[in-house]
Amino acid sequence: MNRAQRYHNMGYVYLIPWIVGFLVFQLFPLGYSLVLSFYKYPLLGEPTFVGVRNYVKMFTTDPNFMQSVRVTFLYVVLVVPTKIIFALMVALLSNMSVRGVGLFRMLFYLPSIFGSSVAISILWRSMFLKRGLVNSLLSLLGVPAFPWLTSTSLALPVVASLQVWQFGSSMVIFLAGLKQIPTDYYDSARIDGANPWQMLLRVTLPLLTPMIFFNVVMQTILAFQDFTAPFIVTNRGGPLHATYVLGIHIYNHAFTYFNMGYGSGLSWMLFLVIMFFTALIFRSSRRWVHYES
Amino acid sequence: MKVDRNLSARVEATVHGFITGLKTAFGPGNRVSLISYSVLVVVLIVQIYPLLWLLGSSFKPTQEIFGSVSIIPREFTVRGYIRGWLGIGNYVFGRYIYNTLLMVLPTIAGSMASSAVVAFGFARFNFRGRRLLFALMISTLMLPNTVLIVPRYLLFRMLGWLDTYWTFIVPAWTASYPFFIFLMVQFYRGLPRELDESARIDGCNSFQVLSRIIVPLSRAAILACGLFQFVWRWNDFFNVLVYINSVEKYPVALALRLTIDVGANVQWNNVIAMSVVAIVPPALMYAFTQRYFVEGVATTGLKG
Amino acid sequence: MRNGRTLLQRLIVVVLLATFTLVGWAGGKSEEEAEAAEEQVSVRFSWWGGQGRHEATLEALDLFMEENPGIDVEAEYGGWDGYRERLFTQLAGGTNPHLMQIDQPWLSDIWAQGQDLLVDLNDRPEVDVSRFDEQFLQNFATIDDTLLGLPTGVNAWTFIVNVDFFEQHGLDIQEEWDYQTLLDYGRRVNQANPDHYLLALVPAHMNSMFRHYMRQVSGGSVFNEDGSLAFEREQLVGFFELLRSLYENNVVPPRAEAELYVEGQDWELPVWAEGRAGMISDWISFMPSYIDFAEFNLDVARFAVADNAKVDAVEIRPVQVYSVKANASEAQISASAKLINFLLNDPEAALVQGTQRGIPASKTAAQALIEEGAVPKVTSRALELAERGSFPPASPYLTNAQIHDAYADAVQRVAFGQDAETVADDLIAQFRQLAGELDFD
Repeated sequence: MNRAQRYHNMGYVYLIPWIVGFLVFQLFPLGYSLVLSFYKYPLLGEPTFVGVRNYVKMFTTDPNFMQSVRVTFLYVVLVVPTKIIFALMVALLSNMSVRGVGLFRMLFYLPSIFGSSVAISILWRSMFLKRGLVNSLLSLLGVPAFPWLTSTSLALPVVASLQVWQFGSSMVIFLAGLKQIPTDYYDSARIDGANPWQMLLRVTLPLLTPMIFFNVVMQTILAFQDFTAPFIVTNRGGPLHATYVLGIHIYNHAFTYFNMGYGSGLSWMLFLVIMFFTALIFRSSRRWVHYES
Repeated sequence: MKVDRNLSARVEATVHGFITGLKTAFGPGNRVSLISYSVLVVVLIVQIYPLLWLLGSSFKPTQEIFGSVSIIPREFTVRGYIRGWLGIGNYVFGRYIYNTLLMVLPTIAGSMASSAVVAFGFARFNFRGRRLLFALMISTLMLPNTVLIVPRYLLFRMLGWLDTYWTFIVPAWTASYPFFIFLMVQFYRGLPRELDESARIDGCNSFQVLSRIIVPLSRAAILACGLFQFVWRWNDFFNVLVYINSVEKYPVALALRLTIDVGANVQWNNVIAMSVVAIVPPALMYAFTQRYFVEGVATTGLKG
Repeated sequence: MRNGRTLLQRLIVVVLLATFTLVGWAGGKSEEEAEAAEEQVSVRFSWWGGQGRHEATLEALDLFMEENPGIDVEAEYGGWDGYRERLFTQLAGGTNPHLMQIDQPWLSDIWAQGQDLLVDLNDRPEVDVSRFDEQFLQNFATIDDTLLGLPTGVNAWTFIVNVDFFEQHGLDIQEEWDYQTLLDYGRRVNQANPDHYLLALVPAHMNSMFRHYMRQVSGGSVFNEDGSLAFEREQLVGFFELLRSLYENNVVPPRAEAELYVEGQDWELPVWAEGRAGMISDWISFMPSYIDFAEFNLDVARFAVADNAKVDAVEIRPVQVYSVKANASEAQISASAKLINFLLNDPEAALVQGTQRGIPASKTAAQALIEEGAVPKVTSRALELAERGSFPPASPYLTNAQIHDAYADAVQRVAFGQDAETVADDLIAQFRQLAGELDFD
C-alpha cells in the first residue's frame, strides 16, 4: 500500500462515530422493530410470538387504524402541495421585487423557526376557539363563527394550516435556486421575444425542478410523520378522530397502551407507506426533473 | 460590538432596499411589481399577525384575550408572565428552560463536532466502499423517526437512559442526524482539494488537515449545524414526550403541555405568556444569526 | 466571517460548561442510594390534581416533614393528562416514584403485567390498615390477597343540582332519577326556554353514564370473569338510542357546546356556570370546586337508574389509591408507608387536606372532618344516596384502558349522530376482540 492509499484509508477512521451511531441507533432499531412487529409485547410483561397477527389486526379489527390512514393521507395531500405552491409563489414574487428580498425572506422564514412546536400549537388552538382570533376576525367582516375545532370536517384543515404557515423553509430553498439560475438564460429568452409568463414556464420552472423535487420528497416524509400539531391543537386527534394521524395512533398503542409489538407493526406500516410514496416520487422525477448537465 | 454593528447595518440595508423597492414598485409603469408587492405584503401580514397577536395577548388579562382581534391590550398586565412563571408543576418555569438547555447544548456540541468529522471522512478521502456508505447515509435521511422510536425506547430502557438526556446527547455525538453530515459534505465540496494537498505536502497528517485547514474555513457551516439543531431540539415534542417522564426533568415543550391539560385550570393568559417565553430563545437565535440559517438551507438544497 | 468566529467560540464555551454541569449533575444522582444508608431518607411522591389539591397536599407534606425530620419528600405533581403514560413508563423502567397516586382502575392492568411492582401494604407495620373498611379494601385494592394500595377517599357518582334553576322552572327536585323522568323534565325545561337544558353533559360524563347504564342492566360488570360479554345486544342498542334521544329532545345541550377540552373544567362549562343547566353529573371529589365556583345554590340527587336494571346501584369507588414502589430500599419503603399512614390516617393531615380527595376512606380521618364540620353537606348526602345500592367489584376487563377507549369512542360516535345499531355492533365486535387479547387470569 502506498502512502496515498494509506492516507485515504484514514477515511474509515473518521467515519467511526457515524458507523457506531448508524449501527446502534438506526440499523439495529430498524431491524428490532420489524422483529417486534411479529410479537405481542406488553411493556411490563414478556414478549410472545404471534406471527402476522398484528398486521391482520390492523386491517380487520382495529377500527382506528383505517381511520388514521385516511386522515394521514388527507393531511399529506392538504399540506404538501399547498405548502410547496405557496413557497414557490412567494419565492417567485419576492425574487421579482428587485430589492427587499432579504427582509421578506427573513420574515417569511420566521414561522419555520418556531416549527410545529407546542407553543405554536397552543397558539393555533387558542386562535380557532369559538371566541378565538379567527372567529373574531370573521365577525368583523360580518361572517358567522365557525366551530373550527369541534367540527369533523374543519378540524383537519385547521391543523394542516399550521404546517402550511411554515412554508418559509421551502421558500428559502426556492429562493436560493432562483438566484442560481444564470441570467444568460433569461437574456436569450428575452431576445427570442418571450414575455415574462413564458420565461416563467420555459426557463424558471424547469430549472427549479430539482428544488421542487427535493422539497416534495422532504415535505412528504415529514408530513406523514407529523405528530405535535394534531396532538396538541385538537387534543390527541379529535373530534371523533378527525385529526387522528397515524403518528398519534402509533403513540397511543406504543406509549399509552404499551403494546410494543403492535406499535412496532404500525410504525413499520407507516415506514412502508412512506417508502412507497418516496419511491413513486423518485420514479416520476425522471419525467419532470431537469438536471443541469 | 462587532455583531451589533453588522446586524444594524444589515437591517438598515434591507429596510433601505425594501423602501427603494417600494418606490420602484409604486413608480410609474410598474404594474407587475406593484401587484407582486401587494400580494407579498398581504401574505406577510397573514404570516406574522398570529405571532404579534400572541405577543400582545400575553400582556392581556384572560377575559380580554378572547373575542378581540387587537394586538394592543386595552388593559396591560404582566400577571400572565408572573403567574405562569411561578405556577407550572412544582417548579419555576426557569427550571424548565434550564432543563432544555441542559439537554440541548451538549446535543448541539455533539452534532457540530461529529458532523464536521464524519463529513470530512466522506468528502476528503477516497476509500473502497465510500460511495456505498455515503448512499447509505443519505438514505437514512429519509428514515422516519417513528419507525425507530419503539426499539430505541426499549434500548434506552435497557441502558437505563430513560428519563435522562443521554437519549439525545449520545446519538448526536455519534452523528445520528444525517442532515448535518449532508450539510457539511456539501460545504466541504466547495473547498478546493489543493488546500488539503498542500497541507499534506507540508507534512500534516489527516487530523491536522482537518483541524488546521478545513474546520477554520468551515466555521459558518458548523455554526449553521449548531443553530439548526438548537432550534429542532428546542422545539421537539414527540421525542421528549416518549423519553422524559419526570416533571423535574421536563423541558419547555412538556412543561407547556402541562398548562393546557384537561385536568388543570387553563388560565389562558398564563399559557400564552409562557408560550411567548418558549419561543423567545429560537427567535433571538434567529434574529442574530439568520444569515447562517438561510445559507445553511441553501447549501443543502443546491448541489447534489 | 468574524461574527462566525466570535459566536462559535462563545457557543463552544457555553456548551462545554453545560456538558460539565450535566455530567456533574447526572453523577450526583447516584448519591440517592448513599443517602438512604445514612439518617436522611428521600422519597418521591407523585399525584395529579387541580390547584386546590396541590396546595392542600403540599401543606400536609410540610407537616409530615416537620414531624419526621429524617424524611425528605420530593413532590411531583401535575394535571391528569399524560399521568398514566408517565406512570406506566416509569414502572417499566423502574424509575417510578416511591409513593404513587394511582387511579384504582389501573391496578388490574398493572397487576396483569407484573406482580412485584407494588408493595403489599398488609405487610407494612407503619400503616394501620384496620382504619379502612375491610370490604372496601377487598373490593377495590386487593388482588390475589395482595393489598396493592390504600384508598385515599371514597368517591361516588352523583347528580349535582342547581336548586335555583329548578325553582325557576317550577319543577320538583327528584331525589332519585330514572331516564323517563329525565326525558320528561328535559323536554319541559327546553320548551320553556330554548337556551336551558336539564342536564349538562360532557364526553367524560357520557362515559360514566354508559358504564352506569350497562352495569345496571348487565348485573354488575358488563364482562364476565372470562371476558365474555355479560349483556345483550338489545341492551347496548337501548343505551345508544337513549343517548340519542337525550340529544334529540334537548335534554342535554348540543354536543358542540360541551367540548370540554376547549373550554376548561367541568364546573366552568358555560352552560352550567351560567345557570342554564338544571343538573350536571360528576364525582363527589370535585365537589369543593363546584361549591367554590357556583353562583347558585347546590344540592345533590342520586344518579339515574335504568328501567330494566338488574342492579339498582351507583358507582362508589376509591377516589384513587396510594401505592408504594416495591423495588426500593427498605428505608424508602418504610418512609413511604409512614407517609401514607400520615396522609390518610392522621387527623391533622385530614383537616389540612379536607375533601380534596373525596371523603376520607380512613375512619379516623373521616371522623375528624365530620367533627369539624369540614365535610360539605352535599358531599355526605351524595355518598349517602349512592350507598343505597352497590355494584359488585368491576371486572378488570371493564377497567382496562383499551376497553375504556373503545366505549368512549362509541359514545362519541353516537353523540355525533351516528346510527345506534351500527355503533353497537362495532363496539361489540371490538369488545370481543380486545377481551380476547387481554389476559386477566
